[in-house]
Amino acid sequence: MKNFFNNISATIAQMPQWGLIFPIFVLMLFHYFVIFDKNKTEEKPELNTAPTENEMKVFQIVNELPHNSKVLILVNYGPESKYELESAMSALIGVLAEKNIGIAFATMIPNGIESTFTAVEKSIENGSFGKERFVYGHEYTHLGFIVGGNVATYLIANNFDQVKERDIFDSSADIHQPLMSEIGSISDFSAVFEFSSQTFDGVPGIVSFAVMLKDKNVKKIAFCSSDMLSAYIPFRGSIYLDGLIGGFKSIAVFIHEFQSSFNIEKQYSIMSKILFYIIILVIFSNLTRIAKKNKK
Amino acid sequence: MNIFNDIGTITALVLTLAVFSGFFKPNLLYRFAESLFIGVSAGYFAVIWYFSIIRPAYKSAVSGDLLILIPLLAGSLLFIPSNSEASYSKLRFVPAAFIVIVTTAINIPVYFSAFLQEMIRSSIIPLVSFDESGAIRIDMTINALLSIVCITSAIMFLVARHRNNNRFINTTGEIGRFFILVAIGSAFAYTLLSRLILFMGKIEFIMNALKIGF
Repeated sequence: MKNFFNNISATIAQMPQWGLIFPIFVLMLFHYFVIFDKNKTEEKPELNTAPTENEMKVFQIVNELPHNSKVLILVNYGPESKYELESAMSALIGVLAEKNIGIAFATMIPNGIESTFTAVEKSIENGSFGKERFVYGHEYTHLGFIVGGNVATYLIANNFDQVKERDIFDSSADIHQPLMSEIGSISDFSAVFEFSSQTFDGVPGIVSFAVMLKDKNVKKIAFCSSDMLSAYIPFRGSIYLDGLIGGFKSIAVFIHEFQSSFNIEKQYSIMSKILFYIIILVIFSNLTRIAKKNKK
Repeated sequence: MNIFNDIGTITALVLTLAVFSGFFKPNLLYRFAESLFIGVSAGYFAVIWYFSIIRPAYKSAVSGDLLILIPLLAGSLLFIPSNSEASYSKLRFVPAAFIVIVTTAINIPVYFSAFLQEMIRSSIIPLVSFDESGAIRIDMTINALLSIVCITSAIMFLVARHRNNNRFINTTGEIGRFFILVAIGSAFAYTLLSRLILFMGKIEFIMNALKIGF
């Protein structure tokens, strides 16, 4: 038995660094071509996870948003979290568009501008509403990149009339954006959503916004990527956060609930298998370490 | 068929594969893609900053709002070379100090309110949770009790570093060290998960671009 472990540990030690990534790549291709090839099997992967209490709370908030109201979406993620957050944001845009809810986008990081427009395009492509029903300036608007991190959150929370003066294309709010002409302050929004893959000076953007917000009745919901989960999760039950969808599992559950056409079940299934493979790899490498110690 | 879309997709595909080729060993294609990404992102950021800050400031100044000249002048002072021996070179500290003071003034209430007060409160209150039928919820109650142990022992770990002659503080500090390591480990695992999802997304993109799979 010891010899068996020693032989394997010697083989692993000889492998180059990319050798550990290579099996992940092979595993992904295997799943795409063999297991989930739609030409070969009719079986669709299922999302074997039920929504948690916290996720249900977010579903409830989204479902209870009044028709024809307005929401603000802070887009604070870039390409590094596109594959996690873009589908969730597109799903949310789809739900809001179906209910004729006006959306104002704003971003506190430069990359957020591009992220917003790609998410809107994706949601138009996949949604049941047409491009003609989702018009810039009427159904949605983009207030651009608001510079300053926590200073920007203060501006958004307390001086929104200044923030909304002009949009990203430098158009005046009152003339070119009928949507914004109905908004006076942040209290006129039914909810504020944040899609985030980073914090500002160590503080989650929505938390900083909530601390500075005088009107505590505005609903605050955050969607964060997996790497930001440890920063957001401590605020889950606090007065600063009414709902949190954090990490790939919660995002998959959210998309499954609101936009089933995105086929998130397949991605979730592949990801869970790869994670299982990594856990096996970690256990195995620890076993070889023990075997090495025994040899000494 | 949209020729521009296709050219964009092919370019993105070639660049993605060029970056992936760096897994094996750095090569000419990888270095080209790396330099291109740095150049393009620098250009992108320059354009964003120009349109978000410089252009609106210029327009405000032209339209008669001369107050905008004060931050403009203060910002310009930051560009004074730090190795200059001229007496006016110390002027660069004025806007730098202003930025530090304002940032600190804004961040301190946020830190106190969010981290010290609300984060701890939301972790431990309610200490005992009940479900709709009035029975105690074991999972939530254990979670709250564990949070108290974690917070207290993690603080004790920081104290134990300076007062290491007390056995109680040392033992509690060791427990705190364990929880801190668990927190760091879970943060690392979440980051790994996030990068794996990104990797999976790129594979999906390659599949779609090559019109295979899906």
